[in-house]
Amino acid sequence: MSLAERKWLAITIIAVIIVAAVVGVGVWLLTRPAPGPISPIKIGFHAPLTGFAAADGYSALHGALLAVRHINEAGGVLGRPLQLIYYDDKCNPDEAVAIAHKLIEEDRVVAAVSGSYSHPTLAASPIFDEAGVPYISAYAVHPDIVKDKPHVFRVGLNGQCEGKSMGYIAFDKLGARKVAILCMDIPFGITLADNAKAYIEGKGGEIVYYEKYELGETDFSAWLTEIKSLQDAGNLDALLVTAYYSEAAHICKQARDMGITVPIVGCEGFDSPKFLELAGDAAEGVIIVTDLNRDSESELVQRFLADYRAETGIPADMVGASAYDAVFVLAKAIEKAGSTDPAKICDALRSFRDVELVTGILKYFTEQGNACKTMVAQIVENGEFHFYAEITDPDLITPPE
Amino acid sequence: MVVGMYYITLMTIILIYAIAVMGLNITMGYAGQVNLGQAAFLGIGAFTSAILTTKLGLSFWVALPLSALSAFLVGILLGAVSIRLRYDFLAMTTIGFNFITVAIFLYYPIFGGSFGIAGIPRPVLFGLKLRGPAYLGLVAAVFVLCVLLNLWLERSWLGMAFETIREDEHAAQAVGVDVRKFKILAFAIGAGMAGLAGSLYAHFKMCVAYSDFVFARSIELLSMCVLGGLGTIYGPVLGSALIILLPEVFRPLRAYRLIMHTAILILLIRFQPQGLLGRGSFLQRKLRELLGGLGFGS
Amino acid sequence: MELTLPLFLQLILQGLIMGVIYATIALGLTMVYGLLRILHIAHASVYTWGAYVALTVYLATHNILLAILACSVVCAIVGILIERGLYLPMLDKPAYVPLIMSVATYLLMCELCANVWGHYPLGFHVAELPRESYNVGGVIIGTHQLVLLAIISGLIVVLWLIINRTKAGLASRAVAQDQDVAKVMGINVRKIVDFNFIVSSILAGIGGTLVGMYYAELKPYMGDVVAYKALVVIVLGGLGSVPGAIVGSLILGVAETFLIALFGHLLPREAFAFIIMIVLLLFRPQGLFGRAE
Repeated sequence: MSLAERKWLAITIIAVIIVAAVVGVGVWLLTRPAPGPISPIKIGFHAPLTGFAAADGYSALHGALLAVRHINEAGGVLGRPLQLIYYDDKCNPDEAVAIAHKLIEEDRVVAAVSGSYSHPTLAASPIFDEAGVPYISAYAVHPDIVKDKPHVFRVGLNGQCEGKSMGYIAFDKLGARKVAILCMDIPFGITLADNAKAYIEGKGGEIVYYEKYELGETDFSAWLTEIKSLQDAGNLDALLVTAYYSEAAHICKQARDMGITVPIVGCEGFDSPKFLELAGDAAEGVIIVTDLNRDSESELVQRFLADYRAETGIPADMVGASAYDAVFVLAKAIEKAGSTDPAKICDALRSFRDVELVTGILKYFTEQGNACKTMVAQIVENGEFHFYAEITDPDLITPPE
Repeated sequence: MVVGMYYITLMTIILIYAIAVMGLNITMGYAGQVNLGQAAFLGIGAFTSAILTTKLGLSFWVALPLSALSAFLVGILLGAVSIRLRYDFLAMTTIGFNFITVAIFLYYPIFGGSFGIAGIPRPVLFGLKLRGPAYLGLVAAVFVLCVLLNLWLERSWLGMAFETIREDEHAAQAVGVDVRKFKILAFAIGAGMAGLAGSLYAHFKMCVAYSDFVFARSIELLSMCVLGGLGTIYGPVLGSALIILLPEVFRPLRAYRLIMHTAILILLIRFQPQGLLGRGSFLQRKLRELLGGLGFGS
Repeated sequence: MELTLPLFLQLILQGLIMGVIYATIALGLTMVYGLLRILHIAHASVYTWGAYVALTVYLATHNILLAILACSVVCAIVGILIERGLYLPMLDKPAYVPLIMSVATYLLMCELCANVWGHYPLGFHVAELPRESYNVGGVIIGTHQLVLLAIISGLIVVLWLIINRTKAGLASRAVAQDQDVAKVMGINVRKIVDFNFIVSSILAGIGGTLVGMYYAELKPYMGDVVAYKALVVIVLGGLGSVPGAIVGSLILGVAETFLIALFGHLLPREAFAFIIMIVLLLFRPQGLFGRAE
């Protein structure tokens, strides 16, 4: 390497390191809470803040931070303020593992919340469990996350329950007997689709089509063309879709463009203002099973919706609401336990009955740590989500174990 | 609760990747065969170990060598395919191989589909479950073994054969080296090491899924290999350490982490493409001077 | 599933649309490969950035032509920066070096995009783009689909004319064939490489914009879909061959759509594409239009 090149290399690397160090220290200093006379209760948090999943990561983070703010405004927990220590996991399980250790040993958190997808949460869960630190997954659905781990809980909808409820909406509420299923090929999508299928078939309905597609897919013409031909042959009453809001928007738009007119039933993945924005008119009439009821008369829900929107500029979605609830229920448990002792916190969580959350009523946590919650179906009317039906049947809402 | 587990965890991850990268280094650095699909072999090893221990109830100590073996065998397959392909075409074939392998992991239920396989047990030695520092010890032992293997390879006839093929394939053929056999071997050994790393990875994380072995990971492994210095013994572990630690160091930067660490990666490759420990690199020269000054030979 | 005529035609239509979308990236990729022997994965980020710049300008001015103009200018600049800053200095290094840089650049640019414009998908609704659907004998055709096909085909024709009817195009083909001879013949290789990067980057940027308008959505990682698939296309068409890239894109788009519809449950979309690619590399590496070496 020539002398000039070497000089450039040295200068560039040194400059980059200096800039990074300055920015890093600056950010760290600015975001550290001012030390007060009372030490805060630290809650750990991780979510994808960079990379392809960052949109959901930020929703979750905003939800969690909002919960911390509301709790602190109401006086904190056990007279102490709550502090959220959060890290970016890039939706990478390896990083989630490192973060778990960091939160436990370096930051010494009392408990932690996952605002991330299934795989990072799954990788981190045994670490929290073995360390005895209570860990709540906001919306990740992989069943093994809570399995046989007494310190791990899930506050989001149980995938099996949600799937059955989707089947219930299609079969019982819409009267559909022949249903097509378009399923996103991730644990979330498959669990929902399989359970919807089982429910519908169990009741005597027929699944006339079942295909999977990849996360991130934008072109559904191949599948929709087949579905359209089923509709034209009189063989279709409803289309059931498991998706996140981006794919959901594409599917609805392309389906409507193609002339598919049967009702579309979606899941909580649709539950985002982005779905409404991207799908536009195609979203009208779409019914989704979710846990956030915009028309709810509960003060808790309305306050959450208003403040989330005021703070972030966009309406809240399921992910943000779930993260809010995870922190909320954790704070309530610490308060009930009267201490930050992890065993007592877990006992408190297990003792909860009929707690009102932003995302429905938490009836109780099951033995494994799944949440038995009421669900709600929302329908898109005039470009907004509105109440359609409530789902409280114990057969539907009790997570099987 | 052992304090310092954070650092032990990081070191464990670094060494696991270093083993996989050493394999890549043998294929690419010594034998000159480009392989952009090393993550697929990592996955083959990981899933083999996961399936053997969770579904067949075999012990980790049996699964570990079998994982290396399964990856080794698939490596032979890829090697055989590689014989007919020139550099650029080989590069693209290995990319395709990565995508296809991941697709198989996703679609066939034995691999757990998109859920992957969870609940992978920890290895048990003399009735003791290996975790934390003990697991790091295990990984370090395997790492050292691989380094020794690498050292032996460098000085052996195998290593020489690889080098001749890398330098000039046709000349090698002319001198009577069975180029085909050695190309296959280069892939197979590289794959076998990745398989070993894969097994260690699976039992460390206790869950694996197709998404852990996508093409982006192959690029990550390749970056570690090149950054450290292709064809060197300690390049892989240095590259691995750098790439794993950079994002951790930049944690306070929050949103700008990914930008910072890709920017640094680009700069480092731009100005030190031979790798930090590669021939004629800045570090290598300084180290030489230092060691020479201390009285050691080069 | 019964393959009726309307279904067949519908699949062909959808396949052609996927095909032209791939073409916008594949053309640039093949041109760069032909000249520099580099796999320019970062091209997909030029595609993405073009779309975002166009959206920004459109939202500010409500003039789609101005947006496309701005997008072209920015993409041309970005393309040149990548070429001069990253690729040219690395030409004498082993091929994996520019490849790593290209992939790292792709990731970096997508992240920058997300930081500047936000991580959430952005809607891209263009008032001038009509979105009506017509049922023609059982086949549903949308006006937006026809517009997309028409514009990209038009661009491809323009590119074709450039390559085959202009001096710069002729010089490009000469450089792709043999750089040293071209230099001896007095061709300014540096300028030709610049020219090719500008043309292909503009094509990618406009392509990205059109795709964004078609799906009415932009995401920072929207390049993922095409980035690696384009590799398959250029192998299929023949590395370095422009007509090959065009034909290859269309064939891949249509073949993929049919395979998914008929055999979707066997393997995901990408796997099909890569299997085709590997088979080709083994038995006909020059693809359709490449030269057998």
